[in-house]
Amino acid sequence: MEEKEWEVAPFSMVNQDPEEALAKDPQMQALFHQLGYLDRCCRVSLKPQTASRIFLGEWCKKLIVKLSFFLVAPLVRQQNEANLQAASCMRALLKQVDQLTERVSELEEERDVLRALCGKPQKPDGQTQATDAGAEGGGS
Amino acid sequence: MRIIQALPSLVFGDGISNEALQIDRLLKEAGKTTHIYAERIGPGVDGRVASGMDALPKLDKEDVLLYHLSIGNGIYQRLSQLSCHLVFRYHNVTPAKYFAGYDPEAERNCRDGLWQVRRMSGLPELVLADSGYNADHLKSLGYRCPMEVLPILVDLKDYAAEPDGRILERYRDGRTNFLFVGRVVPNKKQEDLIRAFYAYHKWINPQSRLILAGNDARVARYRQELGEYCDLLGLTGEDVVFTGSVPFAELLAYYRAADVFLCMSEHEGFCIPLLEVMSFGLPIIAYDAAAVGETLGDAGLLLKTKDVKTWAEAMERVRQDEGLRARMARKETERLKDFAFEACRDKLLDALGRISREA
Repeated sequence: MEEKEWEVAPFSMVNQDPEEALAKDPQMQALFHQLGYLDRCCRVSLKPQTASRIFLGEWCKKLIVKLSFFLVAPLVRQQNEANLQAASCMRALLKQVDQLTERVSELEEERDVLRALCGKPQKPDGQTQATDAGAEGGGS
Repeated sequence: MRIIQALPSLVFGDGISNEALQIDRLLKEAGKTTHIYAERIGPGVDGRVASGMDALPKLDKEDVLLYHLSIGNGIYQRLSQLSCHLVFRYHNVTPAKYFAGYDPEAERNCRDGLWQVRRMSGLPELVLADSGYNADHLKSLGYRCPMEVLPILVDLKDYAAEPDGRILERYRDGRTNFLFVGRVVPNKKQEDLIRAFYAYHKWINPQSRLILAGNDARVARYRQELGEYCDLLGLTGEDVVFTGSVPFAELLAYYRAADVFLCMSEHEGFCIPLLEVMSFGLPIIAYDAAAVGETLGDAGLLLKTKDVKTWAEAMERVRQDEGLRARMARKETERLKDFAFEACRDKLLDALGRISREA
């Protein structure tokens, strides 16, 4: 089974006051500053290469989880039309991030397969090449 | 000589109430004069079987009072004034901490219940505890009277009845169904089930569903938070199903539609649903807390952790491994012999008979 991060929002998050939590957590404050940037990325970064650069890294996964805790849940709790609409937009945004992250993983797997194939081609005599310089060096 | 039962509440669908009604029937079949008295009697209970505590007659010293002890109540004050023989049926008291912030009344009743249990240590001539766990609890509170472990009487023949066809059709739709049966209350830890299920659903098998069958109206705030938690995790009403109270035929259908039974409860004096599950040959994964491990025995997968990765992987293993499922079903059949209704019935009648003879 592929190794996952297995991070699931704790139940206690349901009752947490987001503003209070935000005020106490400098890391969260920094993450929130990135929210606008992330939003823009999700809207425009349809190129897998861009997505790959943006979404690789543990911080991104954590950001997604924390955004879910602190933005969607409070909006759903205070049910009025504007909030529900905002929550719906946020969910769509998160889903897009999720899909892009999955696509990045797929591309990385494909890349690894291609590297393996390119780096160790079979010689006519059945021996394999010792390095994958072609893949690393990029020459044709 | 009469054998009287007393309990705080007699309501439809409650395990302790069901047992009281079962004992009432058995005593009548054995030719005993008996009746049930309860502080609260729910709708649907036959008035010929039970009356309010106000109607409790003066008991003679030859009479036996079987008192079901599970929560704080007003009956306690009358017990020390009775001159009859007292037998306690101990079902354990849920620690009050689970209801803090959710249900002040339940929190108070549980706290009072434990206080009352401590205070009554010198009253009973005999204690019939549901489990060794419950017996040990009483011993730790100073009880020194004779004590026997008598599992809750559950007549599993009833579970061979016809299940509700609509529920079966609805949930046999190709999704993997994980099931838990029990009231939606904080000590049963439905949030942990949702959490483990989320991991499984997200990272292993999206074609899956968690069914939480049981009364969800008792602790409204907790139920609301569970709903919010599902929202937070992006789980829909199709992914996590809260059935609320269900008729017996529907409950049977949920058992039959399920692939694996999960239990992450942190406090059970016995855990009746485990017996019900075993009668269906449904594999069980349970968290090792309170009396759960004792009731389950070696008939299921008992986990000592709530780590979501461990749970999600165990859920998949049990779902997929046909050989393992067959072995678990065989173990369940074996384990059920320890809870055979006839044997428990005989043990109960024997215990009450001894007290009566002594009377």
